[in-house]
Amino acid sequence: MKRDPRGGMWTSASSFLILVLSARGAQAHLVTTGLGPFYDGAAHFALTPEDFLPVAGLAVLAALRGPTYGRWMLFTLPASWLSGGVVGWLMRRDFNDLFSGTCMLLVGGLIAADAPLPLWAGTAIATSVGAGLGYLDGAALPRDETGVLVLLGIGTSVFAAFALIAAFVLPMRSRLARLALRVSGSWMAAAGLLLLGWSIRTSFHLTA
Amino acid sequence: MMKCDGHKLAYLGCGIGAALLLSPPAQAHIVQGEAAGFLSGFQHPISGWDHIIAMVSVGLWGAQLGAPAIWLLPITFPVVMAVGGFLGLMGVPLPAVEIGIAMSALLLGAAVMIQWRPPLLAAAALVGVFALFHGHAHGAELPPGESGLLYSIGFVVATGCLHLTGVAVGTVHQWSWGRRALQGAGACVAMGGVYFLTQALA
Repeated sequence: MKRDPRGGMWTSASSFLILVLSARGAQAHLVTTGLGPFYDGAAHFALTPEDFLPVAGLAVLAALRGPTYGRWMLFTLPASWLSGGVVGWLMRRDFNDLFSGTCMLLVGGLIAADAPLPLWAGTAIATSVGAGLGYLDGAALPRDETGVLVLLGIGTSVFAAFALIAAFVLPMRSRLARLALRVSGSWMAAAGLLLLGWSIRTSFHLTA
Repeated sequence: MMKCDGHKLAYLGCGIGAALLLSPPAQAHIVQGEAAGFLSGFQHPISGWDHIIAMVSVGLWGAQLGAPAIWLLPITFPVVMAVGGFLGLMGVPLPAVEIGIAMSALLLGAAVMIQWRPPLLAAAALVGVFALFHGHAHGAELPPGESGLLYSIGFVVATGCLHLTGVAVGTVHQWSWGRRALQGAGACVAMGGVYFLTQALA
């Protein structure tokens, strides 16, 4: 019996909504779900566009390039995210949105260009993005042992989100779908450039 | 296969869109003074008719020119607009911005009206130049405290939606009555451009 894939989609969407609406308090840069630090980390990733969008972009990029890319990035991205997170947790020195904007500009631009990246370049980009964003997350974590659990939750969410989005995009073979993804990539790059501009203006107190 | 891919794209877009739209209420790191984010950014490009008619006419012209302009122009405009926005945010001056915006409506409307078919790169370059003015105006107008990724995304999505509206309307180009209607629409856009140009020069 063939299962209707839309049923799974609605279940996922409903679960996501429940998670979002059940979020209660807020710490600086963190989400509190009331389910424990691991799930706080998972929810934090899902509800932070600065983290979620580059991962979604990398998943689309990997899917456009093929399954080999997907397999490599699937593991290097969360691994580098966790590594960067640990470093950030230990060093506790924060960057600002400059890095997030740069990630979106880079990833969005690569999607828009549909550039034939060699595998090592794609993996290196995923590693750099993961390490940097992981560092930002780690720098905001609490100093106690709950910080490690939060980081594990974030890493698990990164893995799951990448896998789901890449698996979703990979079978898309039509020219129109590829075109739509490239247009979306260009929009991501544009948003990243605006975010970069805002971050620089804020950091250096420039006036328009 | 195309129908299946279309559904998948729609689900993917809805999923990511839901993640973006639902994040502000639960977002823990809202700094005092930041705006509401996505909706604020979405409203900004549609805050002025001069911006609206110019961006819709990019879609109209792209549809008139056909592939690959039909997707290249709606890519070029938001990206170059973001460059202009970046310059505006940095405080880099750009002369005669309002005149440039008015001229964009006038010339793009005229291009649609006369069914001008320049080389693809020329069309993209023209659209890019106008996008620079639009983006600079938005970037320079960004209110203090208005910030963040969601604002930027809302801004770009609104721009893209206006282009897609133009493309959707422009598909009537395939019929003879549609071609006449498009030319009429181009004339209206051009007249709007003349009006805004007189306002800018006054």
